[in-house]
Amino acid sequence: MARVTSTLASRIALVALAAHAVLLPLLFYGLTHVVERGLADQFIAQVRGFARVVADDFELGDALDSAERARTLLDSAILRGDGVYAELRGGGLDIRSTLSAATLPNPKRQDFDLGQGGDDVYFLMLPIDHAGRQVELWLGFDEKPTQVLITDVRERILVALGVYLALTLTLALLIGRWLSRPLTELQQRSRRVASGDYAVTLGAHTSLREVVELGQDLDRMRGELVGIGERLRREIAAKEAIEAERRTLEEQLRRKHRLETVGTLAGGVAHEFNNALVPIMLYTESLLLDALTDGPEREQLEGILSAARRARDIVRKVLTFSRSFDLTGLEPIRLEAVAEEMIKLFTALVPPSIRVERAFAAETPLVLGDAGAVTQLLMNLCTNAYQAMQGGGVLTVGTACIEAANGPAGDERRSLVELYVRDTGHGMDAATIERIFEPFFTTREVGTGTGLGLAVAHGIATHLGATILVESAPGHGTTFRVRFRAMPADDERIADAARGLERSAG
Amino acid sequence: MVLIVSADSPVTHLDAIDVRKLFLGLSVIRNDLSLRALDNRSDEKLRQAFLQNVVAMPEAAYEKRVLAIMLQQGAHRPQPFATTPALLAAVAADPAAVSVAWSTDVAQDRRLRVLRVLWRE
Repeated sequence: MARVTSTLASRIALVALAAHAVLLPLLFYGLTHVVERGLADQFIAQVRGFARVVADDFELGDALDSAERARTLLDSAILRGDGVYAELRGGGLDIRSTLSAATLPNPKRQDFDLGQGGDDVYFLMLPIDHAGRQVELWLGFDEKPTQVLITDVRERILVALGVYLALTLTLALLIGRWLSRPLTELQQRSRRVASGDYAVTLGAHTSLREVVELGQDLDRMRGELVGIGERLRREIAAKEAIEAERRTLEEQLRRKHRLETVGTLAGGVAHEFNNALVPIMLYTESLLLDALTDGPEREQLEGILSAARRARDIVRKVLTFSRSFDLTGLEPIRLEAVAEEMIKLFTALVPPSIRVERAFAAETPLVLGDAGAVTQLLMNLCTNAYQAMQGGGVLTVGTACIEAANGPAGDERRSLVELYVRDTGHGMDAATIERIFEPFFTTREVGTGTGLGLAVAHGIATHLGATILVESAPGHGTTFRVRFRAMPADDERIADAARGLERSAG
Repeated sequence: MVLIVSADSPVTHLDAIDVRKLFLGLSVIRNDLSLRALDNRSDEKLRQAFLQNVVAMPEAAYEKRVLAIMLQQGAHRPQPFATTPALLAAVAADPAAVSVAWSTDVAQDRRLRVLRVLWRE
């Protein structure tokens, strides 16, 4: 069952109304009783006193000696007060005032309180002892004026209490609103906090201690909740970053496995193909040695040998991609030095429309590698960049030091040296990037490329323990990043290399 | 309701004003005897008849009046009696004592004497 809610102001007004619903009737009946009793006593005192005076006049005076004087005194009794009935009975007398406006009930009745008898007349009898004569004086007094006065007072009390109730309810509403104002302010502030405005402090401008302390308590809760929220957001962001890195690593792993599969297949084919090429080349060279004179046969043999040699070069590239590359004797090298040598060679080969720029970082650590292999890797990347900028452009070769998280937790950092090649060419879409390192994959026309350059670059980077990344978008150029693990400064191989250089210099 | 005194009392007559003075605590002297009122509170109807016909006031007004006379004149308020036998014995024992009672209660009591009838039903 849903609980009915109400505002503080209406609740206070309701409580006040309920309290007055009980108290006001009690107050009304109490007040009217007091007033009625007072007015009744006042009436009774008046009529009893007046009746006593009249009775004394009869008892002590000589009015009873004459019937006419007695009647006159009875008339006077009616005229002087609120009398409506006056009569003398007994002792040989039966005299009734001619001004009597009421009739003595039968049987005769004497009243002791206002309202008895229900005929609006207060009857009383006073025995008179005058000169041995026992006479009864009967008087009746009109109760209506007093009862009208009582009714009027009762109505006035009712109106006064009604006005009092209205004023009380109004006051209760005003007090309720005054009391609820700081709570409303606190509510508005808490709603702002709930909507994300954490800078709002929870409090109210009031002197009510309970509300002030409630605001302080809520503000402390807000502070704690905001702190918890910030921590949660940071943890969520960290988890999202870890998740993104995990997805990247999974993608790299998947691509690596695919390339390994392709490499294994290509390597096997290349090995068998190389075995087949060796006798072809040997027999062809032998025949050329036997062919002493020039002639069509010699030219045909030279064509066979040339084709066999081109096939051998392709086989070597395939073998390079498929781990058959010989990378013995890795040594500490500085990537900037290797890149500088390659750039000098490459700059001479590209047309003037290609501007080659350097962007080397200062004081990069040494990396473990092979200068020749890195040169070939860099040459392949630069060649690819040049081919992507047939209309000209800027080719940038640079290095950078970066820190990367080591492992999913990201609690360990490792230093890397990045060698990158950036071009301003036509860029690649996601589908091309997906297959860019596959051997024999090319976007160029058939016959203008083998599709082995980037595959070989990938193979070299992999065998050097480096990772190769590509960033590209159609129309926004391409950047290849090859990241080598930096050698620690205290690595003994660096010291050995330094000693070797000193000996060769000496 | 009748006005009674002791059979030994020298008082033979009291008019209505004397009776009222007596029960309001005022001094009333008869035959060199200062009379003393005794308040009969043994019966409610007797009380109402007494208030209406003797002192001619409501209860509250009578009490207020008696108190005022006590304070102004040093008078003694009528001694109250809650039972009729006690009241009758007190009246019989004191020639100066005056009180009210139902006539049926005193009709056979030779220790008392009725001075006058104060009220009839």
